[in-house]
Amino acid sequence: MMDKLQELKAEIEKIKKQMAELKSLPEGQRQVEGQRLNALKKNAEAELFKFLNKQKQDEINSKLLNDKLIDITIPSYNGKTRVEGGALHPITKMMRRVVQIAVSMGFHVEDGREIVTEYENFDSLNIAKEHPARDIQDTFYLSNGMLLKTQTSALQNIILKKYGDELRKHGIISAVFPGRCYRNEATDASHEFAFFQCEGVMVGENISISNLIYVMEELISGIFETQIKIRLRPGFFPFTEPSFELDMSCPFCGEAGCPSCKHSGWIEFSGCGMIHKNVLAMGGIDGERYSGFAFGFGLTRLAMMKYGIKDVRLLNSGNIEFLRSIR
Amino acid sequence: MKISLNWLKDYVDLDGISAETIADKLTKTTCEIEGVEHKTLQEGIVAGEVIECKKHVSSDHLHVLKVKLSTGETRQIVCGAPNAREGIYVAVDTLLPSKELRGVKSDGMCCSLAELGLAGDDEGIWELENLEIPACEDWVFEIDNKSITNRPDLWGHYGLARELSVIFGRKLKGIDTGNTLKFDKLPRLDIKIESKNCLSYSSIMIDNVDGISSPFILQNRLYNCGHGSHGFLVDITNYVMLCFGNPVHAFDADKFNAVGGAKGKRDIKIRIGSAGRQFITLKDNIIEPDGDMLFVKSNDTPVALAGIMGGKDSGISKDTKSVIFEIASFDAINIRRTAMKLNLRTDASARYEKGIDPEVNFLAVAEVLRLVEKYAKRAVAVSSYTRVINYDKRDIEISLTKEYLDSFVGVKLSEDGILKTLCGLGFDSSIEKGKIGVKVPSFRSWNDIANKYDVIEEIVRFYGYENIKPLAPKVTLRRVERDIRQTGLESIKDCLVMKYGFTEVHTNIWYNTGICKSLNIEPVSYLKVINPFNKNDDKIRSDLLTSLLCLKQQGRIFEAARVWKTSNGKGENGEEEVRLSGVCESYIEAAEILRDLFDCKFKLRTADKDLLHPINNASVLINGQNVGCVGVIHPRIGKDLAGFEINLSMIDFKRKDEKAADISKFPKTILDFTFEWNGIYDELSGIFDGYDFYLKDIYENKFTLSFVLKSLVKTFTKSEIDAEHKKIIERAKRGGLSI
Repeated sequence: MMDKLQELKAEIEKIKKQMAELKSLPEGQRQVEGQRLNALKKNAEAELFKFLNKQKQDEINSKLLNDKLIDITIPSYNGKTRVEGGALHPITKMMRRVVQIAVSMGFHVEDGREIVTEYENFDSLNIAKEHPARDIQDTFYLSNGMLLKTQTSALQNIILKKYGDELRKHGIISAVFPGRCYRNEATDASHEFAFFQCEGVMVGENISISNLIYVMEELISGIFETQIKIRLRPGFFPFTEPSFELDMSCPFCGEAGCPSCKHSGWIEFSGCGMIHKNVLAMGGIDGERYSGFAFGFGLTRLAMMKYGIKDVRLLNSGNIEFLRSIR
Repeated sequence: MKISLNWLKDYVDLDGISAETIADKLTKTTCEIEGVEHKTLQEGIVAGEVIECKKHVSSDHLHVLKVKLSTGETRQIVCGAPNAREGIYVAVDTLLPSKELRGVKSDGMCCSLAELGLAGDDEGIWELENLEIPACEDWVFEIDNKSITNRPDLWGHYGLARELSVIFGRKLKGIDTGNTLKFDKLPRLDIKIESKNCLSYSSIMIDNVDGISSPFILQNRLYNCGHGSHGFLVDITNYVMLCFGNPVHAFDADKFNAVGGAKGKRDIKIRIGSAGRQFITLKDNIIEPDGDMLFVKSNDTPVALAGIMGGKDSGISKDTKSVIFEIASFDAINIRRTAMKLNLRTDASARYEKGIDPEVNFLAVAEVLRLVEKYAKRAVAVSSYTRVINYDKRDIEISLTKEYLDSFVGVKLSEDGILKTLCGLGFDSSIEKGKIGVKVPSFRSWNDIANKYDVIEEIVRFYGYENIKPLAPKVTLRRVERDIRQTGLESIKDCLVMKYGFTEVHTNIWYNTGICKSLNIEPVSYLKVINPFNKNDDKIRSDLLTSLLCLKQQGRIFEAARVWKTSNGKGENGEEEVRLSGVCESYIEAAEILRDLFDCKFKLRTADKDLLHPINNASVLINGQNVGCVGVIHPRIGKDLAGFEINLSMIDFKRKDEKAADISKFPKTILDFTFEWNGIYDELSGIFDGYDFYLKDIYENKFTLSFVLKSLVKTFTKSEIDAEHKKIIERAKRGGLSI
């Protein structure tokens, strides 16, 4: 090895000596000889560089194989990693998914209050003063005359008013508004007094029942990432006319029947209907010129279905182990 | 509510249609059918005639019967029923193995209706009308009552039969209401309505109604529909209620008389209004009337809580010889209010609450009379059918264009189909030149069909929702921007989760008083829940951090949620605020996180928050505005915890002006100084205002700062650097730092 190095160095020295003697050559030969020696020198220097470099690389490589094995398969333990992973709440994740689909179809997204007036929760939804829906047993009433909203429909009035201009300008209102609702009901594995719903409206000049069916199929297929069919059954809500109960074909087995759909091939999804003309009127919209539909589904229920959550009470428990398990 | 298929068939021909199909179609078109039950008679039951009945040798209450079956065979049967006697027809279970009762052989059993699952009656053996077992097979549909809340006309078999007649295109049987006319010559009853809450009241008084046993068909059908049997007269009232949805009540006429102090049957006074004295129901509830409750009275004495329950003193008994039938209509809201006030919900009140069409009274009384005539041969009417009305007949006419209908549904519907449906449902309809006109029948006019959309619903549900093809709406293309506050909050959440390992939780909008107490927290609230889920937990929260601390969780948690903030520090006027709050294990890191999220500043020891350490807390400032607080959690609440709360309503989420920095071509000079400083680090930027410096190192109270001298246009000369050096030292001295 050393011999090779010395050999290469010697070669360069030799050429350098020859270059020093160039001046003894006649003029004409000097240039040609100079160029030849220069080229030789460049080659020899390159060789030397290559040799030294290889020597260096060989040294590094031989050392490498003696390096200690770092076992990266060891997971974080006892707080020895910098930070343990966190997680979004499954409701947030579900909400984002729904919002994403809705936005892709041109829906505005609204957030809303949880403490609302009687007008917002009942009157503006065409729910008469003596209607059973206003029973004190189901609604949490507050000491200032307001109440905790029992359904996301409580925001319909505000939203219809907010987008009235857009309706006149573009001929369409479309918005979804997820939010938390409260009902004074006994709790068990499937019922909580606080839960999330998602509501949506679409109002325009010729919005029809067939549009409702189309949009719901698109929306639900998007949420479950698989093409589903919907079917409507007769229903009743004071704020829609006609009103429907909406079922979706089971996204897990596609109507074949499985435990998720209790082997019926269909799962209840939401209530929906054509917005009642009184509701439109109270929202400042001409019910003769415009028509629209509204839908409202349980976001909490949807999240439980999607993430396989068996007890709804876990969602408000703050149980970190549970929340982190859905990542 | 339970519905019998046989009963429906009284009104509409359903031959060739299976119960499953009926249930399926009803669910798709009308109401929710939750289940179908097939009722059959068990095998081996044969009719027989008791040709001999002798007392049992060794028992007082047993008899030894010789029963001749309809098959010809004669059997010896021991029977313990009180009504066993010669000459009656009985139903015999022939498949029972032969056994001995008190030493006497018994080959089979005479069955009671209850034993055969045909009715509730267990008091004696079933006495057949003749030597034949009546038809017993039936299918019973269970309807989810919630799905017919808005259809008062469907709370009886006739209304459902009408729906089925349209679904399957079969004829609906008309009801002959003329059988009241023959009593018109009899004296009218003295009925006066004293309240606007009674819409109509009608009665007829009938004598010689004692000693009639309730016929099999009434008992069996009532039983299949979930009702008990309480004697012929009461069974009539329940049966007719289940026919047409209009409740019927029966009074013992003699008792009615006596209670009201009438001198004779001619003197009976029926009044409907408010009561001035206490009333006891037939279930022994004692009711103190208020001005709103409606009563049926005999003269001045209340005899029934109108539309809800009859009274103890005027009720039907086995000895009733004379009956007054009541067929009436009451105001839905009033009945509901009273029923709720007294917590007395009955089948009658459930129907009245929905709003019954008073015109249905005629159908109901026709059926009452038909049943009395058929089964009570001795019965004699003593009064005419007297009806007093207190309402205006509803005459609702609705019209809409075919064009509107088609556009609203999204399908071109056939005019024939529309008319067939509407007429079948009882709507007088016509279509002329594209205009559809309908007259709403009386039984759909109360709390039901009011406008063209209700009519559209009738048309479309029979067209079949499954026949409407999905149609994409045509919409103007426009940009729909996400609210910057929403996307801003999403970014904050993502950062907390992915960069800092926080887990998002959800907590309640009211405080858990018990847990607060256990943590030594006294929660402040400006708004209470009047009817809380838990009596003690009625305080709507005014901050979010308390809710998080009450979870008592190990690990980093956060939440973005709403609180109620008062507008002036007291009273209930206020509004919701959206807050972001988090709990972690390090005060310093909490501050770093807030700086990262909001680019904020801190003012130490100024957070006015009872939850935090008195010294180690800070207000969070953005552009000089106080937007929240951060600090070590007070040790009385927990150890090694830090928390923050930010008022998101005050955060300006406007997109930051992101601009690239100008990078100088010229090298920069860095001057390092180490100062001794006992103040707050933040103050240094004031002392060295104008200089670009950063913190290089800290050791106890010695700060090493690196000052950066750079220019876009030149390199600093040695003398310029020296000058800056002196200036910096000057500034430091002035600020109270020592080198």
